[in-house]
Amino acid sequence: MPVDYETLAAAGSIMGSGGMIVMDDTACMVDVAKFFMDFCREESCGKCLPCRVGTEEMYRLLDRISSGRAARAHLGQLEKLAAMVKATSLCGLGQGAPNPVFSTLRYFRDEYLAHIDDRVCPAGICQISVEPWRVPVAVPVGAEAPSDGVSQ
Amino acid sequence: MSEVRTLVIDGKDVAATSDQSVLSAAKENGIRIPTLCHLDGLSDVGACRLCMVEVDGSPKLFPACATKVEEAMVVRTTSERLAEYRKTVIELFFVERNHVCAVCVANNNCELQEQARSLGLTHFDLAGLHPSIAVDASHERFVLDQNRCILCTRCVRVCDEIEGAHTWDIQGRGVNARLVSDLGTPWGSSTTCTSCGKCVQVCPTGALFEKGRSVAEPKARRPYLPYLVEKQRLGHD
Repeated sequence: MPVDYETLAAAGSIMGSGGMIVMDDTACMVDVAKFFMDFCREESCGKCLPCRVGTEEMYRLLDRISSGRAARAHLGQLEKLAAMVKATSLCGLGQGAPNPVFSTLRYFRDEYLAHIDDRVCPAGICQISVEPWRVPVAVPVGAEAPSDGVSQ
Repeated sequence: MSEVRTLVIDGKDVAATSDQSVLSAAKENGIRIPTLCHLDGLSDVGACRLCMVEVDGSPKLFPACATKVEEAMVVRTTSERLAEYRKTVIELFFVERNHVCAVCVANNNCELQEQARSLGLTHFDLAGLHPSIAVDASHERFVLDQNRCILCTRCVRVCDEIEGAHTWDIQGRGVNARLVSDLGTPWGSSTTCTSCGKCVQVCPTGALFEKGRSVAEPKARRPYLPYLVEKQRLGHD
């Protein structure tokens, strides 16, 4: 891949200061996304709302997923919030903060789903919570509720 | 010298002067764009991101309050995407601090609550951050309850630009940003505060309020608004 602005942008990345991080197959992509979000929430100046609160909320959602305490609905929330923060943030920090979420989801969605559905970190990096995690399920009026009132 | 610009907002042909914002041009033509940090007569900071609009020819969204009108601009103030983002903006404000309408002085007289109502926000999906923040009731007449603060900085701006005292400012960054008086000393011991109460009258929520008021009682009187409107008018000439 040529290292120029257009190619990097097409791959969902940015040139930044020209730095490059090399990872092999022992890295957990959820953990990587969480690491970058931790950086962004730390660096957010707090002037505009989407970056100030959005990065913090996305970090908490990623933490939920990486610790095996998330349902698929949380992944939906993460994607929705990431799009909103990217589109509405005031400066480049907030506009770029969701990029690691998008690119890891684009190329490694199966790793997210392993954390959520199987409560397993394929790379063996994330600490999976010991407590089983199940979420109460909202059922439309008239529809049949699951027998135990919760879903995986 | 400001010049005349013609543009299209929501399919309506609009004329405005070159120093006007998209928000002000829309307002003059009866097109309502939801806002929170904006207040007529104060400078704009574009912090709440509620007034984001679409402009033809750009994939980006623009804050209507901080975007000047341009010749032949085509602006859309409503769309499915904008409606969804605006709902999320309000949701993020609610989950950031400890907003409990039922016990708030501003209940039924709160711009945050009103926006939630008009945008049709019925519940929150995101988890509350529930920060632990102390209330500053050291001032003789007023109280600062940061649990209800949305960091719109209207108080900071009215104190600086209209009263000229600049008692208020923001300390800390990210979710740790807090409104502080006099570099972080209690409001009651502030040496710059003139106790004019302008900040209390411009606060969109119940973060700044007068002592002795009960739940849902006070109505923002904004007695200083004539000055704000006059200042804005002079700015345009």
